[in-house]
Amino acid sequence: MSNTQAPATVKKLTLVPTRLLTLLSSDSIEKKVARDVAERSILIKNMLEDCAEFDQAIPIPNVTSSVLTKVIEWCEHHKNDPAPAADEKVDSRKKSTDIDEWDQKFMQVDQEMLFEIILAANYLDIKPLLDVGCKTVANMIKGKSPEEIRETFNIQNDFTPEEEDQIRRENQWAEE
Amino acid sequence: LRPLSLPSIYRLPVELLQLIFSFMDPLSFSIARRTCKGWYQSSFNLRLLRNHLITLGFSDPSIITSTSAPYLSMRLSRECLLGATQDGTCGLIHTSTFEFSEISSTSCTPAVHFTASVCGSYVLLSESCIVYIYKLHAYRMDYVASVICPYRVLAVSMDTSGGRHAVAILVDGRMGIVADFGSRNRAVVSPRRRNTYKNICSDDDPPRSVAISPQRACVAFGCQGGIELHWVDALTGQDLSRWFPLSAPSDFLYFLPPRRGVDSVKKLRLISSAVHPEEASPLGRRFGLQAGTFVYWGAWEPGLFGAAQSDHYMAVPVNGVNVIFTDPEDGYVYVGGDAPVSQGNASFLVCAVIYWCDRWVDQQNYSAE
Repeated sequence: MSNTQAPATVKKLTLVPTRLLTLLSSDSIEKKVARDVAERSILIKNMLEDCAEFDQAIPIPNVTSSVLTKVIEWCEHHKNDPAPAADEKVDSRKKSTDIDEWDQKFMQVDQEMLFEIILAANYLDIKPLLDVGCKTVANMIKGKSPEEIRETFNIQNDFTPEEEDQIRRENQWAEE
Repeated sequence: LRPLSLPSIYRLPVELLQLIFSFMDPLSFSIARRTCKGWYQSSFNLRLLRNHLITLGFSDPSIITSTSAPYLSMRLSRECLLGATQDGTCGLIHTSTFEFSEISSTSCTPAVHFTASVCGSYVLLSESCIVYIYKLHAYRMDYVASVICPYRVLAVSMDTSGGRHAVAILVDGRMGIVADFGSRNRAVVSPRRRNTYKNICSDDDPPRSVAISPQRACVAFGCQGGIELHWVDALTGQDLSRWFPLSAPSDFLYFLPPRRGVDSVKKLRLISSAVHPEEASPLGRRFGLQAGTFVYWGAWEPGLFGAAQSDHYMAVPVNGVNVIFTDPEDGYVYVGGDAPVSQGNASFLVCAVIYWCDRWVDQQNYSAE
């Protein structure tokens, strides 16, 4: 067993993850981010696989810098998470609205930011973050009446009285 | 000019809204989708609806594999209305236990009869000559009033859905009593007004059922041959009555609310039906009759009122929209809609209910102002 090989291995391991990428937000702010962190986004991962060398800043046209900072924060915390479940198991992840403590704290933002994070996670294809965001919204809706939901999210009730009556009568047995 | 600024939730595309819906329990989903049109339309997704129905325990392939989103949506709404809870389980929940042993003073079985008011807010206990009225709450039942009658109580009726707090009681000796409680603001009340109706129906055909109108000063008594309707004339204040012959016995008698957009509010609608010929026990229970004593009813013979004479047995209105009844053909219990018959979706059940109650009530749209 040779001691001389060990430092080389360490050097090799630390070299790869520290490669930095530059992301360019919609408001033209550059963000430096480690490649393994950025690759939590399937969009960026696929992009990097297609192009061997990526020296220029990667434009993220749908995401502002403040949202991008939040998303990178999430990716950094979750960079060592196991790979997301395969697509066929997609329904099993929907059974629980449990959110881990760190994520719960992370999602304590105003509604504007919450929906921006969800949209960014959707665009960047970060499924676990998308799920956490949607679960957070689902938990905000749970147990509320339609009127309370409208108040919470500032939604206009655009049903006509006839439509509301029709929906109310949806349970009518004879309409089967 | 201010730039158009929509609340941030409006920016979510349909698929993300559906993803949020998929993380909810079926009941919350069923409620939340009624927030706005966009949400309601987004909820019509086969996979989403199927998954929620499966969570509720549906496994019947004929339902789960349906490719009609409106159908799945209707099944889900119905199931939620029938009492699905947030954890997805369905059915009745035991909320509390009440002790009634003190009320039952006689050894005669069954001594105490329970009748729920049509509105579902009250329960009436009758024991011998006394009717006790209790208000139902989510987890308890409060005593409200009692009515002492001169003879044994046979049937009771109450319906506060139209704002009328009164109870109609049918007692032995062809007598009816309507006790009015006025407005229900106090916890315990005593009847303010009491009307007594004597010599109802006839000696040969005594009354067997009673129904109180939820809105008007009006009460109906049913017997084997028809219905006797009593009301107070709005102009003269006089007690008036009228007899309506029916081809089937009126064992179950209820007022129905006017159908929205179809009936004038002045129209009186009643639904009358016989007890199922093979299911005589409800009447036996109510009148304290033992098996074998049905000769009291003279013409009581199984098979006498066949399908030809009765479209439905034991019809009981529920939630102001539907009617539970027993089908004479197959003997199953059905829930039918009290809806206008429109072309295309008019099932036999709808026809049965509409035909029966409109046939004669249409004749008497009297004005009660």
